[in-house]
Amino acid sequence: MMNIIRADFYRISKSWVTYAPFAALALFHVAMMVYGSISVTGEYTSGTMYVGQLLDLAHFLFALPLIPFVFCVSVPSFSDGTMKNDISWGMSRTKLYVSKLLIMVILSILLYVFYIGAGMGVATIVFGFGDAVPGYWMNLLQAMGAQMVGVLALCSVMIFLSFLLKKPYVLTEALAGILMIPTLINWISSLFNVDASRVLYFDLLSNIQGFASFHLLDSRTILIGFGVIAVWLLATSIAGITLLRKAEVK
Amino acid sequence: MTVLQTKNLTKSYGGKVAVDNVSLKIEQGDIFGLIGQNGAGKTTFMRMITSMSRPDSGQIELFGATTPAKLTAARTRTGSVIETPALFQNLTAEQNLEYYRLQRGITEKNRVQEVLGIVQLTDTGKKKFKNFSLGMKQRLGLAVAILGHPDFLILDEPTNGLDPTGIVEMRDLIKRLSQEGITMLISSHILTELAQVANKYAIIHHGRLIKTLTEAELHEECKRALAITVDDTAKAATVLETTLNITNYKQVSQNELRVYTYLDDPAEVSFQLSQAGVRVASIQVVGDSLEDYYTKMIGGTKS
Repeated sequence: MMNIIRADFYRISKSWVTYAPFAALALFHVAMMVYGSISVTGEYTSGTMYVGQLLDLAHFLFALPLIPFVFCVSVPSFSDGTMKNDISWGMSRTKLYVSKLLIMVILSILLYVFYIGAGMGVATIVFGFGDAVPGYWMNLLQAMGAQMVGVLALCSVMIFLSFLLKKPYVLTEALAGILMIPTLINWISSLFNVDASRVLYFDLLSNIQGFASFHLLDSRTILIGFGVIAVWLLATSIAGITLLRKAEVK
Repeated sequence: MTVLQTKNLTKSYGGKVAVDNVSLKIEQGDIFGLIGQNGAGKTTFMRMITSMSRPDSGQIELFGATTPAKLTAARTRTGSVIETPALFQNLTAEQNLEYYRLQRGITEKNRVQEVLGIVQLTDTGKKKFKNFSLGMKQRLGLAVAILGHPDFLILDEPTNGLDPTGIVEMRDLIKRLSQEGITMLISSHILTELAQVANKYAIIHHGRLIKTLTEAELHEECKRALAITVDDTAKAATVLETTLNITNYKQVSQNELRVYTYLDDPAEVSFQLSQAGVRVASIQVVGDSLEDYYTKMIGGTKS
């Protein structure tokens, strides 16, 4: 499997699409600094405050740039038809699927670290680091760690969808769609004036968002959050592997 | 040594049988030509061999392996190009090969350049696969297939869509590879094309294997001869030998003899046989071009 991962990293290193999410987030940080600087109220006043915002919005701001990764990692297997080279050469379908998932996870974690790290760096340069309450670093690392666990499941969902839908334009719509789920649930609940918090318990992105304030969560919420993430991770991984094992390779 | 053996391999799509109980055996060193019209089941057969498609029933034995896990391992000894070559559109020839070199754990770093040389694609530079001509794509597909020094090559219509020059180049390439001792299974719908490289043939039609024959048998089948149907072949043989001094003949069935001389004078043969009391039911010059033979085998008419 290491050979597959090595080869895929060689391949995706040749594509500008791989670097686009990093560039987009870097631009976003710079833009936010400009916006923050000219803002009358000064929305961001420190690096720590900006990072807090980034954690809060990670379920969308960070998740959105993951879409191009899917197009680098797994989509060419279908769009370029290269999967037949892998399968016909005797590559195990399970190995193939798991390796794509691992590559997606590695890229996503790198991007996540960049998302938070670059944000903190840029904001600290512009506004200064700010006040770090006692235990700040531990809280931050806990929140990042918990969100990264959620990102694993998000990667699994995305890779599963790419193997299920195959067609790039359908996949784009589906991936964009899943990022809209929390907003959609909130919108529907406010429209019909119902409490949607229980529904949001089962939403992956809402759990990632919730982990932004990990240190404030009670153990039951944390347990439910990790439970939901584990279910998404396992369900989509098993479904994806099963799908590929049974698929006719075109 | 048997490289590939299939037993009653069957595959249907939506109730339509694409491959119907196909059993064949490919020995080491064979250049096995799988001939059939478009839609005859050649590609489906190859897709099952390469695990791209699962058989409904039947067995595949590859390098002695029959269980799914062992078959998967055995497939690493193969190389294949099924249907059109599929490679990363945005990578160059060298990058595509480097990708597969890393993926397949091939440690020889110079193998990429070596293979590019074999398929004559060393001068493609930064040109991406998506900008390649069909002939170049076919050659690069073949390059990936041979990258890992396979023992068995599976090529599906390797000359499909190529211009005459491309066909000649691809044929020469296949010949060169065959000289290196690689066993091959090559499909085509053009028998004359296959005949230039293959030494064994299987004709597949409507998913069924209708004939398997060696190069010698094929030439024999296509050899021009007088096909004489008589009531008594033993007596007819005596007449041929004693009266007409013919030794170049053979009995092909209970009532049929084939004579490889006197092709321009069947009347004389018929006359002599009749004179000797042999009843001649029919006498005609037979012998096909490869195309005629193939057309006859699949029960069609030559267009």
